[in-house]
Amino acid sequence: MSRLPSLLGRARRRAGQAAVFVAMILFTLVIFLALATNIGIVVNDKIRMQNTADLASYAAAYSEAQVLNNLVYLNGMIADTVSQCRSTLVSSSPYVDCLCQYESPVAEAVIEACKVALDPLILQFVAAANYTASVTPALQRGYSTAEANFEGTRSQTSFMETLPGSPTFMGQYWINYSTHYMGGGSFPAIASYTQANSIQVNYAHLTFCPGPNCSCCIPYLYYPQDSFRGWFYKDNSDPEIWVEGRVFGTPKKQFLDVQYSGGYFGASATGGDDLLYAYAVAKPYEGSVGPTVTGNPNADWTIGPLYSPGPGSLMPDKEGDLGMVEEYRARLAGLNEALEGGSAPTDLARMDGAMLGKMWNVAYFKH
Amino acid sequence: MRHRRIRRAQSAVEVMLLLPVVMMVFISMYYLWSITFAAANCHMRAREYALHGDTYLGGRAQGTSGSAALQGGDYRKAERGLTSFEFSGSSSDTSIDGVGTSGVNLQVTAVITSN
Repeated sequence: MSRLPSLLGRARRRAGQAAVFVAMILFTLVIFLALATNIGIVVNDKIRMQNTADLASYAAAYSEAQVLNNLVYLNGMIADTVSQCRSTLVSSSPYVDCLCQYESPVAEAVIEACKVALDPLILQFVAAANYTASVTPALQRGYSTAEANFEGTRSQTSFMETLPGSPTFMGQYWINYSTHYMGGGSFPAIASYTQANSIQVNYAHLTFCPGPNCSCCIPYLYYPQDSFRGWFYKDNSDPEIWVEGRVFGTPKKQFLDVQYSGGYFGASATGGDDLLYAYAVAKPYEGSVGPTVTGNPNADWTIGPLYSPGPGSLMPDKEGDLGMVEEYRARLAGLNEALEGGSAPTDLARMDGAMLGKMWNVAYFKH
Repeated sequence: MRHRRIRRAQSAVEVMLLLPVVMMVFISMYYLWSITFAAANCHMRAREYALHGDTYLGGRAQGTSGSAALQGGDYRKAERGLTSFEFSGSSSDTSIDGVGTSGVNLQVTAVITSN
């Protein structure tokens, strides 16, 4: 009997013991459930964000590809006009008269008409290549696409083109041009283009008059010479035209965070560490606005051969000789892709990393 | 002795009580994973369709439709001029059935637009 109070006391101490265990286990389970839900939300939002970055970059690159195809078209128009002028000079204007002059008025009139016709085409090309008329609208389309895919991401999307130091930042590429009668200049452009300023033209005409009645004019071939300001060529073989986009932000959905200092596993429901980032790179490719000065001797006609009439004429072919290919399209590229050749995304990724206070290893940017 | 007899099945009862709760939690996590998986499928297929159509989706293109940026086995040539464009892909997917319920239907649209 003396042991009874002791037993009763022990039983009293054990009362509620299971409830404590149940409470602890339930608490743990709720944490796991919240964690699983959070992971689901984050994974879903990360995928949406990556899709948004991909599609936004693609939209901007597609828009740039449209601009580039337009530039091919306009450059081709310039080349066509030059070609037609030269054909006219060869086929009709020379030998029209024996005026005992060093120039043919008819041929000169043709040349003047050609210059007048070329000027608006040159200005159209410049206007289309202008940065604010090409890259800026393209990026706007990227923002629109981001918003269409993930509400609220328009303001959370940024393109590296807008960052100083970026190879595609406004002012990195320039177009230099001159017209015959309407001045010239240079503007920030989607890529660097320079004009073939001295596309030499000449014509055969009759000038030498041995006698007073000009009965036996002797042709003075290919003289005088004049020059057209014509098509545009690229300053380097492969301008770096990339669209690198980034979408970031804290998902709007309320996380099921367990509220304690620092949030669950170091994250926080109030943002900050919950920020998600998605990067994407897209690129216009496969077309060619025109020749390159390094890769094509026809780029700048001043370093090309002089024109001569007749069979085997050296008038350059738009697609073959000048390499104007209206086939630009857009594709997604891996961020790591530029490591092989270019340098733009590599530098940009590093630059962006510096903004985040981190130094990114670009090898991580595969997707 | 009487108290000991009463306590004999206490653990079994506690386990029996907790087991359904634990099971519910794990089943819930499984359903959550299933929904997440279906959502991931949806998003990726919709994006893929917006870009490439059903060229690379193969048999997984079921429930997917839209107008793709890819045409004829290659990326679509960008028509010159600043004309508007819109490509899109819609995809649906269903998570696994729940206990006494059918799976969650998910519908996702991916858009590439100039507007």
